[in-house]
Amino acid sequence: MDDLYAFLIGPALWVAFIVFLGGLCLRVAFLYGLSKDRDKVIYNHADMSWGVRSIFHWLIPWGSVSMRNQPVFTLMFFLFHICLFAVPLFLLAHNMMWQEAFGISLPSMSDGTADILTIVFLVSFVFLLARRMVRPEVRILTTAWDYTLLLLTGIPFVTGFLAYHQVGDYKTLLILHILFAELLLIVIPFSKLAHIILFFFSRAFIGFEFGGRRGARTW
Amino acid sequence: MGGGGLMRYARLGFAALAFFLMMPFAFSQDAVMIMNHKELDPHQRPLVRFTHEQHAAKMDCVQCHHDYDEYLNNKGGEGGVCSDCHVQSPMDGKLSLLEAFHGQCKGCHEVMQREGKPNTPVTCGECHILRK
Amino acid sequence: MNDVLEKPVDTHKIREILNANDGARIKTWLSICSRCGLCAESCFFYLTNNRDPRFSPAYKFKSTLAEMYRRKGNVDRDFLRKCYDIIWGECTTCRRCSMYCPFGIDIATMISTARTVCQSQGVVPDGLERTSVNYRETGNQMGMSTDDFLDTCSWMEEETGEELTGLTIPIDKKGAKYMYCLNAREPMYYPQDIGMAAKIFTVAEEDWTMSSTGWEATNLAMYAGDRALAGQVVKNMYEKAVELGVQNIAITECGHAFRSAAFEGPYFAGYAGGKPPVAVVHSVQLFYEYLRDGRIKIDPDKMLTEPVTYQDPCNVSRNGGLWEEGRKLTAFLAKDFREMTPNREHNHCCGGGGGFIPMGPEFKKRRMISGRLKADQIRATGAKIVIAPCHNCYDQINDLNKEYNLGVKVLSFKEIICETMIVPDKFKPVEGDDEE
Repeated sequence: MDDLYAFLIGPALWVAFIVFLGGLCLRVAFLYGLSKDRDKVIYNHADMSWGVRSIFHWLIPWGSVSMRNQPVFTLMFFLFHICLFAVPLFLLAHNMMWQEAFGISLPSMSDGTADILTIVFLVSFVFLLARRMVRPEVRILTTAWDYTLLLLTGIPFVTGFLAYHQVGDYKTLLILHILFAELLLIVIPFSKLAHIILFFFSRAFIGFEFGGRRGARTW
Repeated sequence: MGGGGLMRYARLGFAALAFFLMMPFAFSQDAVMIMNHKELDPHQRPLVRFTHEQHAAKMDCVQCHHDYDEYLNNKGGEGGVCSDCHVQSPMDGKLSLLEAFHGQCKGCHEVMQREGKPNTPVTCGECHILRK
Repeated sequence: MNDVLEKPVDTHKIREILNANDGARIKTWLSICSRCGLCAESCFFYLTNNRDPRFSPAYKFKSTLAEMYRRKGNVDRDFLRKCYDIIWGECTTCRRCSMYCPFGIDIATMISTARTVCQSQGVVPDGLERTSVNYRETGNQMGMSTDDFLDTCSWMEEETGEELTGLTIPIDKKGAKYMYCLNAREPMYYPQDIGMAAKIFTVAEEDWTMSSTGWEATNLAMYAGDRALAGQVVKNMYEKAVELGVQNIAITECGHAFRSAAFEGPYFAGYAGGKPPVAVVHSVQLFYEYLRDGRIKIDPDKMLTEPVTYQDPCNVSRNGGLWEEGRKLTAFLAKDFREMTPNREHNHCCGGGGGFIPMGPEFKKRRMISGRLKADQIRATGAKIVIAPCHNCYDQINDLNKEYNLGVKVLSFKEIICETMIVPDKFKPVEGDDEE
């Protein structure tokens, strides 16, 4: 188990980060090259002001008509995404490891705050999962892979939370925590989760297309 | 075989004597130290119970009770505690108290783990153990 | 279409189309859709079909274009038949869903691509296919000959000229400011539309012309998925405009004609830069400018007093950017204006777009079901007059009027302007002139 732990926070972590960042960069570079050839409509009508506003309005809660029409979903959706980013990035223990390994780290939050955000995350996670199963228009679209990806985002939180509170076998939970978080990082560039970066491109395009060409707001 | 019984008592008594004689020696230092430094308040994790005696038996005191000269030679400290020199934030080229603790404990443990010594704590929860 | 269902599927051709369209946008859209379902609520088909999840926009592209890509083009007739029902029978490519998708996925563009795939296999509504034959043979959807068209114009010039002295319908006038392009339905069935346009241009003292060829502004080939033909159709118009050296192409009160001429046409026709070679203006814009600039004045006593609502045609408002012009123009003409909700770029399609009207009786029942939303919207305004600056909206709302007993009158801007404008004396015919 010690060996496994050492592997997971050593070589496996490097692989995960490289695949995550490299994969996303390659995917964007590939799509960029392809777009130059086949999607001239993007560049013919590029309009940064509309592109930026198209992105911005969907980055703020209830910033679009669509989100205002579904206020509860929007709340949960934002809590989910905010916590999904904030907890791993600003967790003290994670940053301590950055600090020890590279001498630099991000600011961190207190463990109490992280605990609350984790619970908030899990609530929104359960909401999104339940919505996926209950709402017919979402269920009909949902595949096993969609459930897998959703669970994959939730597992690191559950295992991390249990390990922190030392419920269950600590070492096993910690190893599962790291393992699934690394799996998640590796899967992101090759799945719909690549929307963490592609969101900006697809939103910018629709901003050009509706706003730049026609003055219509897409929010 | 009545003499056999007597011998048994004598041996027990000797062992008891030896035990009591050794006592003050064994308790000359704290067996376990609770690392509760005000500088680190509020503590984010459960306090570490450092088995000082166990560690003292296995390594040179100066490895932790260190003092470096300008050429980074360890002259050896005089039994002071970490927080005598290491304070809340890094100062005069000295690590912060938190970095000093983690570097000293975890750094050493990681080396031991690489050398294949079993049950060496390196993860957060293995030192910061929650007492329920 | 039924006879083609027997023919084998040319999967090679399908793959070719799929590959040609497999750009960064479609790749991104297909891969990042997170199946959140937010698009469902934006779609009037979904809202009017008991919120059946199979009508959600995401489901529609997922079960058509996405499936074509997933199967790498190896699809059978049964599959194409299912697609047919979805891409023509359950979507008008109104693009409302794109505004409600967190990623801004342009679902209508994907549905259009799926139409292109189906069209390549002859799987296309008969009503649209008939227009394609006509476009190929005559350049217009109704199959009208040039002679008939020119006759109609001179007939209208003669007839309308009796009402308005000095009215002419210039043909192929070089260097005119506007080349006015039509929906072939006008010369074919509603020639008075040409007469009304001529009146407006005459009173505004506009430098305009009609063209003997390339006058057809509609582009149903775009909705049939026949991109090559769609390109040819707009090219006829663009090239004629360039040949005549006109400054602008003006489009009649037709929505998709504007979408085709101003936005999608340059891509079908392969013009670099994505812009038409001559600027394209919609009637709503042009008529608004006439009233704004005082070139046409409205008689306050003739203004509409009944409650009026304005139908935002998808391809004039959301896809044309002219929702404010439509309203300002209405304000000149009507005293009691009432908004539908939602409106402007968030309007709902009337249910007649995307080729639905020419698709004919086969699709009428669905058109009436999905149109219920528009009927309810109109009824809620309490309006007695619906202004619809689009032929498809016009027809659809007339059908809805009967189906749902709305008790409204549908009018185009041309009709209202001609009824309400002040005709300066110089254009008034001399009394007794018409006695001979």
